[in-house]
Amino acid sequence: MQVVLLTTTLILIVIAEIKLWHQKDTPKIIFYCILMLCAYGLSVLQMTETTIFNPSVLIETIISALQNDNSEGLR
Amino acid sequence: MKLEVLSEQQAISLMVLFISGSAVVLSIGGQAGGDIWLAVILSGLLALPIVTVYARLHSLYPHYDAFQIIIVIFGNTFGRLICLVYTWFAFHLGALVLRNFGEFIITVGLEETPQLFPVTLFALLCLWIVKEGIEVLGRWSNFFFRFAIIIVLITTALALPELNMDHFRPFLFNGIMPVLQGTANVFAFPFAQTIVLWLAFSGFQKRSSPYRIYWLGILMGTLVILIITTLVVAIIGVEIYKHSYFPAYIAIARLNIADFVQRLEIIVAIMFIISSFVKVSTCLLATCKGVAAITNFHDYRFTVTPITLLMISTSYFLFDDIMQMLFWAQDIWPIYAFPFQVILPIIVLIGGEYRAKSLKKQ
Amino acid sequence: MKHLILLLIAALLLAGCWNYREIDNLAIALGLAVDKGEGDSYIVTVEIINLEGAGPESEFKPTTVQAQSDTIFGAIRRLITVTGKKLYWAHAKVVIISEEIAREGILPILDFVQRDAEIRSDVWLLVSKEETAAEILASTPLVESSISQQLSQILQHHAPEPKSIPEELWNFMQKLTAPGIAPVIATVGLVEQGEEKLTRIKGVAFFRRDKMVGWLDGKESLALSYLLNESISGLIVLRYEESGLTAQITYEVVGNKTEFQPFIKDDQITMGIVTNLQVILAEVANQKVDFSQPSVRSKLESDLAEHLEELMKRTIIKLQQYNSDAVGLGSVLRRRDPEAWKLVADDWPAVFGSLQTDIRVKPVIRASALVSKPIEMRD
Repeated sequence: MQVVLLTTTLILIVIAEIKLWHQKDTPKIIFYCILMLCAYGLSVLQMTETTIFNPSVLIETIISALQNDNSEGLR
Repeated sequence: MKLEVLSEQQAISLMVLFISGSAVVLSIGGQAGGDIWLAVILSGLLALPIVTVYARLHSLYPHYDAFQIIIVIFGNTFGRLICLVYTWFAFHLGALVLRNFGEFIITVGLEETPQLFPVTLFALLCLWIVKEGIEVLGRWSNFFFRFAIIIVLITTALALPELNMDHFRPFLFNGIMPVLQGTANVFAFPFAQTIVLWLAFSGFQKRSSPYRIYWLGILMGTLVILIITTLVVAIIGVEIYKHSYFPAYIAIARLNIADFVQRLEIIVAIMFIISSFVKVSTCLLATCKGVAAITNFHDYRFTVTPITLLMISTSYFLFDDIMQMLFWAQDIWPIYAFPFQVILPIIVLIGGEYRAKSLKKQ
Repeated sequence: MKHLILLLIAALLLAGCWNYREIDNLAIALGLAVDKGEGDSYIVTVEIINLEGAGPESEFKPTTVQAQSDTIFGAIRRLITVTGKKLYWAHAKVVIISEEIAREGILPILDFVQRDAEIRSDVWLLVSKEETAAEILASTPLVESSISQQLSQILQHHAPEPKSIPEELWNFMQKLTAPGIAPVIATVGLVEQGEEKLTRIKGVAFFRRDKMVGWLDGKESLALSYLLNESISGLIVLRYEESGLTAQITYEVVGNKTEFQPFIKDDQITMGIVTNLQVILAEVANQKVDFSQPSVRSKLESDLAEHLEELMKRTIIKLQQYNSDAVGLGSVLRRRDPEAWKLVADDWPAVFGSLQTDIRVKPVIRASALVSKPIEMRD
């Protein structure tokens, strides 16, 4: 239900926005649609509560790994 | 394309509100304990040379915005890579601030509301103002800057009877180390985050000096942060400051003038909403400009809607809960942000100076 | 198109709020009393007010409801099965804790109160001197319409007659977390007057960490108030005796300031305490005491000093017996001599227990109310 609602909203937004530009600039439209698809994908993941990738965790791991290296090096 | 310009006053207001951003409600620099005021002053001083770097870049290339400068200096491939890194940084910071906002709203007020709703509505407004461009954002900040100053002054005046200066004594109880840690913390969040402003600014009115804008902005920002952290610690004490998510909210809730003026915490909420609105919008603007620069589009406006939606979703993914968020803001951020906020700008400046000299020779 | 989008957004914003609460679906909680139930459970008693009737004739009626559960929050949620309404906590005034729980440690209760965003951290804390805390909420309010409001009024206006030290929750938490100071909580008991039971707030319970360890009576808590630099007034009644002349003298303290100075000699810490008082002679029961004479005044002053010094000494010794530094001498030492504090910080309660104190009270009689000389009666 939520996903259907999201899909229709986003499609409406896309149509409305492209119409608002008053110009047919194909690369622009394609790039815009790609970005919109990414946003759509991420929103669907969010709504279905699937976690695929968490940048915070990744950065945390890298930083703690670096810190461990440093402290061992000091010893 | 016409370069959008800001007046000096607008740019400074934008900067002060950006610095106050989420820093006024989150607990920052708690490591310094009772010497937090010293940590804030030190980090403000430390931020001055860094913003001088940004200002110097502006004055070297007055007709370009930040991403164009990077591409001009480093060429198409390598320049774009740096742009990509900065775009990610601005995007990530925007998502973080958005998350702060969401957590604040659901913690202090609407516990049962899904965080998505306040965050989405807030982000939609940011989307709107970013579409209108930095000139509108500048005028908006200039207008609301006065409110922010009035709020700070009023709370200071009302808080005077509640202050307990014993919380600051003894001076340097645990030596200088904790103060330096606190300084590093406050420097990384919020002062050095002004790098995002550098990315978002596109140009200033004629005769206005970027140096003056950055220096005055940092000085006034330091003053605001200094007043607020000092007030909060003087009211609630160091321990509670460290252990609460939103110490300013708790501190201002204490104020009670003769049972007549009380429950002022909404003032903090207003201040927070004003300043984090500026912060999220600036980050969003910088991200969109970055994306446009990387993909070689002249206008960034058409990317705003999808990027806002991406930012909302990312802010949701970033943390599992508010505890992780606070840990991040205090422990991970200073390390993570260091290359973006200090190392890269210096590299860009060195490249810029070299490039400018070789251009002159020709 | 633009207008349509704006309309849609407006519709979204104006349609209502998620966390809406209607007043007729709320029971407004005024006071909370926590007792120990069987085993590990808690009995929670809440005074609520209910809105009865509508429009101008509506009136507020206080009642108490009770529930039992293993956690405070659980018990409070269980109350919904009794009231049918969700409790609204933003107007809560007092939290009363039974002695049993106070002795076991009150952190579990404070945790709930502190964590809940709806309860304001300026609620008053009280420890019940009666068997249970619930009894207090069942007593009769004299002036206000509910007992919680009555208690809150008494605590708020305690300054002219300081028999206790009122602590708000946040203040208690601050003392609990700060180094070198132990918290206190005012105690409340019941007195019978005719058929009615009335509350009386007198004395304090003092703590070590979050566990209550003992009581101070009204007089001792007055001494503690002066040591804590609370801004209070307070009456002290003493008997004046000089060359066969006796009189009851009532001193009213109008200004108090206590200063501390630690001295360290041979690793032994002595805390110098000087209390400066400004006093008014509020009532002199014998007309023959001529307080316009300097010698009489200095005698009056030294009487008062002696009395208060003895009282403060007694209070501190009592606190020392339980190793509860309610005066905050540790935090004074931390401020004045950080190096010395670092040496004793880990072991402070024990060090406090054997700390030497040197107490001096310096009263100054500033005025004698409206009369300059005793009234002379003539036949």
